Amino acid sequence: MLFNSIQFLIFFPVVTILYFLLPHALRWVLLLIASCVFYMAYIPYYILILAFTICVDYVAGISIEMAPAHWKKTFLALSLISNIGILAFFKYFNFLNDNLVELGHLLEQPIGLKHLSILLPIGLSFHTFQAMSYTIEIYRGNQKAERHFGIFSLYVMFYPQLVAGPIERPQNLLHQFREKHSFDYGRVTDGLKLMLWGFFKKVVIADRLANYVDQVYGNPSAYHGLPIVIATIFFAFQIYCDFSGYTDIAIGAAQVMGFHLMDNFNRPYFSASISEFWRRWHISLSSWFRDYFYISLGGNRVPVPRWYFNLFITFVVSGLWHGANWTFIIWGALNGLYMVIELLISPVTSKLPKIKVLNILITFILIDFSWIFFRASSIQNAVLVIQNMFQFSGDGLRWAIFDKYDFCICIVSILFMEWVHYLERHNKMRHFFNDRPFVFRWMMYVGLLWLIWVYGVFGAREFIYFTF
Amino acid sequence: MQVQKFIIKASVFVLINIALIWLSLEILKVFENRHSYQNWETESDGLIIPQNKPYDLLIMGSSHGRIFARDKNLLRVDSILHKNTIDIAKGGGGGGIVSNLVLLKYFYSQGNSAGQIVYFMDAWPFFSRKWNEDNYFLTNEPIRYQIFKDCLHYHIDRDVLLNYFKSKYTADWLEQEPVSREINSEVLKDVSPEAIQKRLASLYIEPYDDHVFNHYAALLEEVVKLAQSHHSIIAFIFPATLLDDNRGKEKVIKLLSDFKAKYGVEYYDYSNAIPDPKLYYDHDHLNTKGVVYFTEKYLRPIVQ
Repeated sequence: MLFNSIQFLIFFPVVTILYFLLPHALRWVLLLIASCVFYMAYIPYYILILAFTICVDYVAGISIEMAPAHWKKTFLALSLISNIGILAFFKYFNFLNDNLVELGHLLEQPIGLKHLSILLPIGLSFHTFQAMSYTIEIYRGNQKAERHFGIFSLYVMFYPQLVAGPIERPQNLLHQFREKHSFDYGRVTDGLKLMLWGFFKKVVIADRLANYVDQVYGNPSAYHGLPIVIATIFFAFQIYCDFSGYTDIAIGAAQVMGFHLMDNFNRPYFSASISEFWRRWHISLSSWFRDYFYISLGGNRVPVPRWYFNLFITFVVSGLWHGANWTFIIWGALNGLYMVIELLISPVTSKLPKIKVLNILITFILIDFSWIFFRASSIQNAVLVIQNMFQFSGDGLRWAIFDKYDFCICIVSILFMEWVHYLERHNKMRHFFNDRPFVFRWMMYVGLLWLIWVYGVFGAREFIYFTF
Repeated sequence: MQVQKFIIKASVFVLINIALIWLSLEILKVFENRHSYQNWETESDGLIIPQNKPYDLLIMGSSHGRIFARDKNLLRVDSILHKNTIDIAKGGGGGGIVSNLVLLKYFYSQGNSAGQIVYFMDAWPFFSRKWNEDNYFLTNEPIRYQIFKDCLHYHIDRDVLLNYFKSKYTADWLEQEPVSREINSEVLKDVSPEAIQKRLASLYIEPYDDHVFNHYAALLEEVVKLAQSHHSIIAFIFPATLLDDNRGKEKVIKLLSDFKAKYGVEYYDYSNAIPDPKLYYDHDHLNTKGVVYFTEKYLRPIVQ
């Protein structure tokens, strides 16, 4: 089920009202059923894959906890192999196979198997990583194994963050399913405000920008200069608004019911360096890779060349996590390269005078350049975009603005969002609102709702990260 | 206590928004009423369907019917037939069976009447939901409760309904003015088999399906019953085109034969009646000369 669908507008209030009406002992049942319904709105029988993951990790968690020390690693390995195996089969089999077939063509040898016609289960990478964090944390002794199968299932399946995160840790989420959440006016309304803001980012900004970006990136050979530059800048905001909009709705929906999910974004385009950007962008995934992959490789407690390698490979794997395509691998590698270069030149840059605005601009340009590979459908298209980007013509602006009305809404809504982000630098926006007079607040809420209604692009366009 | 506070505030919030919706609809009416539209000056039916007006002839169907209004053609048709005509056919791909049924219902609901109805019939609307329930035919229609209610009744897609309301808050809608679309001077230069195939591919977007066909056959039967219950004589015409399109036509002819036996309605196949490209502005739309020719030669004998 999409958050920006009419089904969700019915589903969410119904589930929330029932949640508060039911006695605490039955609430997990309701949330589990609701999560199943939410997930099964896509391809119903794919819930069996989720069920398999849940069963494996449930048993693995208890086994790791109870097993003697020398067996713990084996159970952890079995759990990880099973999780990564499912991910590899559904997400990477065809990619790997297609590359083998290509290699076979080059070597004039028949290599590879038949291309499988399978659809990727929605949000597979997210709930697999969340499930993996559970067994890893038990292995590390940071988390007790969950004995209640229903509660554990809910940890993997909790519907607000099931298909696109935030990727939670068991220490933060599991205990919350046992806690009794009563109706708290401030918390509920704060959650709803966050959802409203998320909807604004998704349907007003992201989906409107998508029309422009899709047009240019769908046929990059037809555009030169300014349209490509604008589309690339727009994509930076599209992906941010799409994903952070989803996250806001997820966090807000959970908050209404009394659950606290981790923050996933912290005004990333205000970052003054690449490393800062990655501390502010998709925080739950970045910290997952840091804690379970980068640190496992030795992190920075290794010789310097190895440290750089660890950093670089972490980003390459993170790129692969996003999608089974060379474009994502290059995107990850490019960001890894940025990180390594930033470290290499840091002795010099640290002595230079700090001009924050300039640093923010340079960081944005570098990140936006990497987004070209993230958005392009193939490496050839990405190269074409880069080549055509620098071919300016005199009447570029006229060509760049397909629809004046749409273009103005895009620009104004981005500026509005960034203005809100600027105001948020000291305090969350909802807290900023809470300190304002009643009439001002309500005007803002009604105004935001009407901006969504009037300027929102409806048609239930999927969230970009659903396919990861 | 907190729940009570929330319910009260949420109710007030909803009421404020309902009031704003009502206010905005009233403001929209001011924009709609800035101009009065002639049938050929807009593609919107809601803007031209009056109240309590008797017509001799009502034209319905797809763009193949709408061309009888565009570019002041309706005046020519009226003059040739000596009739008072209204054209509610929907162009721009919006001429599916469902849209025609909804708009005909709206026409009658306003107290209007039509002595005779000519429905320009195509086979492709029987092939896909995309020409019917999933079609954005309401984008250029004003907000009318009756239309909305009937759309709900006929299970028009939710996104189409959402767009119906949202499209009224756009510059395109608010700034629209009466415009007569010119098709007088346009003449098809040559018949291109390639262009015909392309056009047919764009019309038949899905393969034939019995279940889908029967669904729209039942809705067309509703159109016949609706017309007859309002004492209108309805006739179906396959419009003249250069498409040489036989896909699904046999099925539709069979359906119309059944209607003829059951309800006494007539149908006429003029799909291959005009082979001269000079009378078309593209491969399936008559230009003004073509409309005049068709009206004189084929429509006049049907409309008594």
